[in-house]
Amino acid sequence: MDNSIRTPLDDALKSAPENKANASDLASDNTAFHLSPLSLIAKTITGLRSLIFPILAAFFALGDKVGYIFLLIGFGIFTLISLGFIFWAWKRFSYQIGAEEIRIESGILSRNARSIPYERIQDVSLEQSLIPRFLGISAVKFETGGSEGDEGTLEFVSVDEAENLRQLIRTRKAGVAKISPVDKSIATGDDDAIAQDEVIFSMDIKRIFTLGIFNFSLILFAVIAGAAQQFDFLLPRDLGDIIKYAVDSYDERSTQIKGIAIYSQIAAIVGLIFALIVMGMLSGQVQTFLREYGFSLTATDRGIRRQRGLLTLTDVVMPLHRVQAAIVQTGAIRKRFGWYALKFTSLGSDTGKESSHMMAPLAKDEEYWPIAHRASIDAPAEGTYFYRAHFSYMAASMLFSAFLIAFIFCLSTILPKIFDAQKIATSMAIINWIWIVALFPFLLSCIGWRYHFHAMDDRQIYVKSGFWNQKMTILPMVKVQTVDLAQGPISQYLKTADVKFGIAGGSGLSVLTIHNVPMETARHIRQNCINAAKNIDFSDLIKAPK
Amino acid sequence: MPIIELMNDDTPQITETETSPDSDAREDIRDSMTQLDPGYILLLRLSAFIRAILLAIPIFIGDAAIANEGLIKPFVIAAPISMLFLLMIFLLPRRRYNRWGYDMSDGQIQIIRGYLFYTDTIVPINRVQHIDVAQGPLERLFGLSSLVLHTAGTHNSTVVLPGLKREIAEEMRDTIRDYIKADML
Repeated sequence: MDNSIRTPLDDALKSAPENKANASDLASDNTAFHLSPLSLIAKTITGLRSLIFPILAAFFALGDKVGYIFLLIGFGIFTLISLGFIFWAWKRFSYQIGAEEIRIESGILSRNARSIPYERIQDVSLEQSLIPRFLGISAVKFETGGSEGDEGTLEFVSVDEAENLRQLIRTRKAGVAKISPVDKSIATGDDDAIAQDEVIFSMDIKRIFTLGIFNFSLILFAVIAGAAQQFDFLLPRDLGDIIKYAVDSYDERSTQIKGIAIYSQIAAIVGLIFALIVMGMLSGQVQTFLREYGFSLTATDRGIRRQRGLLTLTDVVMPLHRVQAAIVQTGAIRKRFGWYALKFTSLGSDTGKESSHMMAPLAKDEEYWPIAHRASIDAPAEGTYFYRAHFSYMAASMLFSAFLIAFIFCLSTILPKIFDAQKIATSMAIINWIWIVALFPFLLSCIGWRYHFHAMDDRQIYVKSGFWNQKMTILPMVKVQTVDLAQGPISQYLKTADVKFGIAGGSGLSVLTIHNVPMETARHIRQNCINAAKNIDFSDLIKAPK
Repeated sequence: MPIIELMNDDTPQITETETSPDSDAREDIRDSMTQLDPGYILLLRLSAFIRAILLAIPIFIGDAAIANEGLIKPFVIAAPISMLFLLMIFLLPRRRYNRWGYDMSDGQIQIIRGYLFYTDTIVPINRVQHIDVAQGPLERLFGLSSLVLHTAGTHNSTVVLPGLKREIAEEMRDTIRDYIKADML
């Protein structure tokens, strides 16, 4: 295994003569180092590159001699100023290789001192784009497994220094914690390890077909409709003529024709709806087959391996120790048939745009819980009591709806007094009924409340939400990164709070939240999580078990 | 109250330190927390002042222009807005300052902030990925710093604690780093 992690670069490093006076040689004392002066050139060239288009635009826009002179002067001044800033930024940027951490100080006016403990560095990557390659310099990026990309970048240091830094950090890290060989082997992708593994879940054609029915979607229809607009000369004339005839004759207001017109109209509408349904079905099937064909999960020693796809085959290995939370999803209809989907939230996102990793798109209880169990995530025990949210869940939307209705009421009383009632009759008719729409926010939040539940046992937190798309998130408490208690004005008055969980991976847009629980319950939930999290370090958590 | 959440018997008991529902639990928490450096009030004031000046210039010009047309009396718009600015400079900074609090103990950092929208965050120290000690231009003027904790979470990936004396921020940074190191060993 260990051999597989060694890259050619590492081997080259071993034999490389270490005669340069580098930061890494003086590692023990806290000397601050500047970046390579060559990075000034690289940065200037990259900066100028972004100026090409504005300059071209100005060049064509001005088009006379005086203009060109001004352009040249302006360009010169701009370049000088940006050169000044690039130099200043370089001057103010320094890094230190400490005994326990890398320290990066940066900023011209706003100073920032970043400290990255060695234990937290997951990987050091070297990046050379074209210009730095010519100059013999390289960008060094420290990845810590945090969710942002910008965890620590040195742009640029000399290639030797970059490689030494990487080597140094690897040895420093090894001094505290062994780099797990399991994670590394995924990158190299040796296939012999998976040869004799057990299939733990797969979907046959029938299952995929069933999933396709639930994936009823009108996307394909939209595409075809769009194409039809482009190529409407290819379509049969008749359908359009019938509709056109129906509409025209309706306008004629002749009772005799109107009778026929209504029939043809109904026929056209029924036909259209039928066509839509067929389209929706078809497009659901096509999409599903393209994505899920041959879906299978295999248990390997590196995690769960997922293969799927008809035309585009994807083959992903999900290291189980990296799983942060599980999501069990279902729809209002498919739930009646006992079908669920299982997803894992993990560091990094799934192929495509999905933020969670699909592990079983359509599965029964007895099929997906064993998969989740492999990631040490389990179903709530039989008889676990799921709590509802406090009624303040609906308070804000209730106030909002009430405000809207009051406003509409005011309008409907005031307007007839100002304007001639006859003239605004249509508007009044709308205003008199629009309050039903104003109720929607409240009704929606009532539905939201009805389907929002949470539960907690000694190891996991369960949060349910959604009426049409139902979802239960299962979060092992040790995986918590941060916990917030948040209160708006209303929940402060009613002494309730939202509990928000920071989890590694997943979508930053939908934060796992237990809404509106009494303050003391909220504190209790939080303290349980924090206590669990305190006992296990994050680096240990995402490390493969030995 | 049938629909409201009831704590049933198997719910673990809340610890003794929790307050009874009728007292204001938030005030109690605030008392046990460390306040930010008082210099932060001045910093907030100065930044409110700068913002007010920048906003006031166009408002005064606009006011004068409209008054010049004879549409309104001079300062009808500018005066109330100036009052608002004065409020923001003199009244709000102290209040905002008072709502901040932090506490680092027992392997966790707790940060509370906000009045209307109150947030109370706890970060277990062993979830901290890396730490920034940041200084903006104004903060440098006052010798203050912000401590920025980065976690791996997609929500709260950065937790900011502003208004600390530079030395204190650095001291906290070192404590956190040592904690992370000790935790690994």
